[in-house]
Amino acid sequence: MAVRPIRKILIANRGEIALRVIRTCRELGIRTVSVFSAADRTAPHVLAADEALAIGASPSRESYLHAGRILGAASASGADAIHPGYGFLSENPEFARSVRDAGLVFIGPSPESIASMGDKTAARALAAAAGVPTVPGTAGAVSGGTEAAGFCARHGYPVLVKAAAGGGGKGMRIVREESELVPSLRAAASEARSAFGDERVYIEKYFEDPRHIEIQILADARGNTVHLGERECSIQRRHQKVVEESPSVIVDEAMRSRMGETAVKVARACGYTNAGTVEFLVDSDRNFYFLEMNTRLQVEHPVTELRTGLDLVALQIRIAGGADLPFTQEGIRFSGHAIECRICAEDTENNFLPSTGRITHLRAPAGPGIRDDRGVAEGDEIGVYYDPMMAKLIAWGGTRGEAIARLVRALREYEILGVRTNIPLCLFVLKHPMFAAGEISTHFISKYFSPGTLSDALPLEEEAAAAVCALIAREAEVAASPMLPPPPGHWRGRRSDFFRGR
Amino acid sequence: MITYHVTVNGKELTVRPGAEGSVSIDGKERAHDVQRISLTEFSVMIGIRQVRVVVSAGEEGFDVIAGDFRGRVTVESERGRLLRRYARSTGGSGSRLEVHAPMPAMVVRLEVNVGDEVRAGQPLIVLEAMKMENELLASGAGRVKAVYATAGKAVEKGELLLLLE
Repeated sequence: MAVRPIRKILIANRGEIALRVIRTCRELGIRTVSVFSAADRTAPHVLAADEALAIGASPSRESYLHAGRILGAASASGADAIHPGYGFLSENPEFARSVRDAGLVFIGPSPESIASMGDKTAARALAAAAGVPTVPGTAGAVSGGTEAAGFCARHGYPVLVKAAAGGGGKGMRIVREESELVPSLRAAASEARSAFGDERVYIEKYFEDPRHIEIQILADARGNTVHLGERECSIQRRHQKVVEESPSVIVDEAMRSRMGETAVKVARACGYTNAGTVEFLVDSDRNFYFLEMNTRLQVEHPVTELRTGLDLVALQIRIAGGADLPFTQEGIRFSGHAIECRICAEDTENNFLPSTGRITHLRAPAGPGIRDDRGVAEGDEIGVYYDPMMAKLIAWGGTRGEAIARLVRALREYEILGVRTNIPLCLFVLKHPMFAAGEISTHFISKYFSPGTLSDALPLEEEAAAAVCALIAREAEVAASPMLPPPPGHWRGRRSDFFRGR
Repeated sequence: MITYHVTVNGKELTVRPGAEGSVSIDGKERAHDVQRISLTEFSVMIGIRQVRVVVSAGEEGFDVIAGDFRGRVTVESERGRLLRRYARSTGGSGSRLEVHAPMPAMVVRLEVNVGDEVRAGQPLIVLEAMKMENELLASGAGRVKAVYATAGKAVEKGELLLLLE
């Protein structure tokens, strides 16, 4: 493949990942084009890019999922490549194909690789054919209760019902006994249809205390394929990753090599180029089974960047432009420990309901070993249209203990008001003795977390909070009823009007 | 002097703001020299100790960060409380048995029907927002008196979905 200069990249995404890509482009001297929906008119990714083009209404399917409008924006701006980020159209083979057909570079794998890994049952069959261990499961999508019951009778409960077109935990159900099977198949199919427009589901054997460990790979067009080690993403809530780290406490050098070689084998089997991630389920005996391959940049890629010192977005652009990988497997060096928390607009105290509203106050952490990849700013409106993730906070330390201490410190510095956040959940996990001991599984949060276990506040801090709130309430009451005399100089300060100023 | 009942971290405090940024809590002069640093940021003295407080007013109370305290603080004036008690004793609205939409969302499905007995924590209705399905749980035991939500329909934030009794 010829080396092809990329001078201007359109980012077909929003939020933190759009900003992440813009940053690397700036370093490489590449011009950036953002696209945005009506709801994102003044979002940070719009304000940060060299150019920003409106592509439609707020619902994703009229903007960030609308391939035609994105290609139109690419043509209008004269971009020569499209970076899809993650989510939205990033794993849509038709989109990748139409980008290529428009004479543009798609910064990701070929449409054929995306398609072969996009159908999860086909992907498993491909991996199995390449000699990669897979979780026992139905060979293809199950058509009805009888076929499903047959599989369960052979392998025993519990089983997991999953969407064939799936990802991100949508259309997924655990079934513990036969009576739950048919209702779960129906519920999973309905969720899969609304999330992916495809109601096919399949069944897998379910492991009780599994770990989720994935391998980052990179492949160039000449067939050089390397792995960048593992990320353990076992800390999940409702199948959504919350905390990710590298290295995993249970992966030693030998296991890392075995998993890495297996991931490279999967990538080669589908003719993969660019950055990708091979996900494995690991059982309590440290056996690993192929789950799926994500044919895009992952949310948690900074964990690998901090541990290897590499810029994965820069490497993606380099590979997409036709250049070779600048290193071999032996040239990759790992250092220290990295942990990431996903900071989401969710109400930790109220069953993690998504929280919407305007961010009235935001103060981000800084200091040694801290990286804050954030897509929102103070004053931004968090709406219902998109994913609730606002930021990723990543800490690097020489040891796991140092990385945990830095991340806890930075989470305590992180202040977001106006929407509720899952920061209390992140702190709960990182400060938990079982997490410190590395005793984790994908059930960690459901096993240990309850909202009652949250606060470390001192009585003094509670009193100060109560005092300020009462003063503000009185100011509001006085402002609302002109009959009451203004209290005599009850505040001191530089700005007095909490309510008038809003 | 106005008296407030302030709930913070599950504790209820009786709070009376006085003059010159001083505040009494549960009958004792506790906070003084409250200074406003910015629109949302305050500095409070409790004895000789300084505490930084960040506050944002929301629909369900205040969102507060004060040292290691992060959470919601609700404030009710003495007068407001009396009015609410009166309304409840005369059968007025505002009871906890109404289930409202916590955010704009799509109704995915109803888990209960009119006449069903429900226990605390039981799922009542499933809403979809931000690409995720979310269950609304019963806050206490009761019987479903009326259902206003329809599966497949969009609801606004605060819209009444169900009534329990």
